[in-house]
Amino acid sequence: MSDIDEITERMKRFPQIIQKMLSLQVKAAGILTVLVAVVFGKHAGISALIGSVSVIFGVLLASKIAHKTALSKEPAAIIINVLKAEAVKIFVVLVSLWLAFKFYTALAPFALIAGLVLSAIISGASITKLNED
Amino acid sequence: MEHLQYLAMIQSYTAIGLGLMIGLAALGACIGIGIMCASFLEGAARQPEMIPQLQGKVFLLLGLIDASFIISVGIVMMFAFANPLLSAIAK
Repeated sequence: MSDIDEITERMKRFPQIIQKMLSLQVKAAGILTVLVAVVFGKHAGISALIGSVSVIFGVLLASKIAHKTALSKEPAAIIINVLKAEAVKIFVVLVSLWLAFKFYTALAPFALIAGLVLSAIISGASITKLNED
Repeated sequence: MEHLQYLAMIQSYTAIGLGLMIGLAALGACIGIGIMCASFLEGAARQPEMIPQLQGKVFLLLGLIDASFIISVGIVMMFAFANPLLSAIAK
């Protein structure tokens, strides 16, 4: 494989992985939100959505940062960028949760945690999906 | 007076629990990420042509390792801002 082919392959591959992960997370968050809203009410549904969206938004930002080194052949640079992405992800989740708890008075904490847990687990469970392809 | 004592006890024990939760979760995540990064560097040094494939998997594995920490952060935030144990005192 020539260098150009390799670079093209890398450019294609990385966003596809993230796209799959995000599409899974969005679908799961949508289903959970509707279920929780139907069973426990509107505010519980919104809380579950906030929990899911905070993780999804964090993953989205982190993937943007991690994608910067998609063309790099230097493993150390990749690791540094991945760790930066990780820090950004945790910061985004932390800030969005703090904002939700501080300003959304009708928040249902258990629904929020359910949404958060689901999104966080799915972001890891996408590995199996990746391995299948 | 008794209620105040219970309130103070719940708050202090909750604070200790939250510290332990966040600390242990961070410790676990850090050990996991450390092992993963070391393995990635080792794999990249052995087979540099595998870097693109490994890179994608590293990022996804990071999500898996990080999931426990994020869940722990969520639970800590819940206990810090909307402690369900305090409602027992209110009744």
